[in-house]
Amino acid sequence: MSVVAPTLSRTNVKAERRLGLTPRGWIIAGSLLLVALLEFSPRLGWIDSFSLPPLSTMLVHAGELLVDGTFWAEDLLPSLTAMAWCFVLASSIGIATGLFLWRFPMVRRVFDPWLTTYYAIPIFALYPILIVIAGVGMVPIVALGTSLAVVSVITATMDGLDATPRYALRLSESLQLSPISRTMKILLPAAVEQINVGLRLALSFSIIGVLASEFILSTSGLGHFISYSYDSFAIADMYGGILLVIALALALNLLFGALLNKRTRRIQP
Amino acid sequence: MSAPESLTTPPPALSNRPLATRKRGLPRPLAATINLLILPVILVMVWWVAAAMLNSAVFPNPLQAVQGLFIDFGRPAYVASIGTTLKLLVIGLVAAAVIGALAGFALGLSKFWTAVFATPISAFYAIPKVTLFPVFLIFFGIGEESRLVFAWAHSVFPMALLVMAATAGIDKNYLKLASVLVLPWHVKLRKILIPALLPAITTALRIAFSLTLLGLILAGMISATSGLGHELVLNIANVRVDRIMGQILFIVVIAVIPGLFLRWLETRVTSRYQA
Repeated sequence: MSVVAPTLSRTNVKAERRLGLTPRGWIIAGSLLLVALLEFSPRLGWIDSFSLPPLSTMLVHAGELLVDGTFWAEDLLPSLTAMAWCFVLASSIGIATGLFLWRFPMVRRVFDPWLTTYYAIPIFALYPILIVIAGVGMVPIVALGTSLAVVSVITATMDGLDATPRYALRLSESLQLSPISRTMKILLPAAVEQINVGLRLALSFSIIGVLASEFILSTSGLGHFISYSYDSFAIADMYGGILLVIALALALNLLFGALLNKRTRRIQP
Repeated sequence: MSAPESLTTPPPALSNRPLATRKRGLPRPLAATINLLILPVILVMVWWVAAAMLNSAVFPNPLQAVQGLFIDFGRPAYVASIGTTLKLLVIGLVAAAVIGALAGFALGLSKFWTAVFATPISAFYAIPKVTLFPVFLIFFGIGEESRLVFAWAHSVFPMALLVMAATAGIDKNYLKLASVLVLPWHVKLRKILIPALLPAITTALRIAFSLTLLGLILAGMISATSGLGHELVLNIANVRVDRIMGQILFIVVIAVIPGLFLRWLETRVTSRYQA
């Protein structure tokens, strides 16, 4: 859905002003207003400061967490490791499955209706059974995050392969390429742009899958930290953790987007 | 919804297609239904074989899971949980659809406000909202309200974003033409706005449905006193695997039937209005 945003910003709109502000000016003004509200509404007593501490207090707590070794060892690193596992597994399994299903249309026809309805199923419902099978720990979390993320990569891979130009496929036939070099030199480069869209979704799903599982039931991780802080009325710590998660999610998305754009330009001249 | 196919005249290039597929024997809807059922049947068979091979008292076969579910159906607390979840699902979805569509439409009419709101809405959409759930609990309490608002917040933003993009994408010349011709509003709605927006609205509805249900189940699993998510988590401590599997089956059915219907609706609407 974030694909929508770039097509909307047109140059003529960017220069237009309402009440003296360009769209970018409005976004900046809105953000500043939000920051001011978060800081001053608890201070001025508009909102009870136990429910919502001032933004500066949250930031101080987030900063304290960032220099806290126990927080890194017990919460941040386990979450990041689980997210990385989910992303790597979902990407590799997803691309391989996408290639396989694209290659065998008979099998694909069986999978297609379910791939398109997959995200209607609240996959977190499987978490209890994963816990019963594998016990509380990293395994059920990674299994859940991977199953959440993998389908976006499968469908993106197949969409990309479907759009491969005919001439490229004919070229690979006339060059009598082996299946491996056909895949590596023709198919994947042709589909890379769509696959990237799938990988970005997979990253978001990995983050959500890990955090939500940790929230429901786990003994470590960022999600567990936030829910534990809530349960033990450490509200400032809770908000500190939430700020860190939001910053982490936005930073990972931005970083990954920039990285992928660079790679795509290298693969697709 | 679209008129029956016989009423619409297909373009000449497409009119031969049904004849070509009919040669194979199976009519299209039947073939589609068979395709749809193959995977679940295989999965159930694999599950059955796995349960038979494990032969464990803990791991149930599909029949035991369904029996577990029927035991649950006999419990008033479970029936109440079904009612709560369905009620919150309907209210949350309707609220997200109406508010999201209206807000998206209003913003999309102006290129300027579309440019202003696209970034913050996408940014909020990218935040893993589950981390904000305790904030909903603090402000709305541990009850139905917090779960409802949480589920609504899951789905209203993508709804608004998709409708806004579709509205912004309407060719403004059509709207100018309509005002030059002084078309009454209902003609304008029927001839210009609905054909332009309906495909995006059905897509957005499908996404909003799954996100609302996801939000409800998730919220129920984290902190609730009733609801299908809450019932699922209750079973973990007792290691009632047959109950868990039965309840998962039930949730999948609740999710998949409307999901398949909305998918079908989306294909129909898109092929009718985006030709």
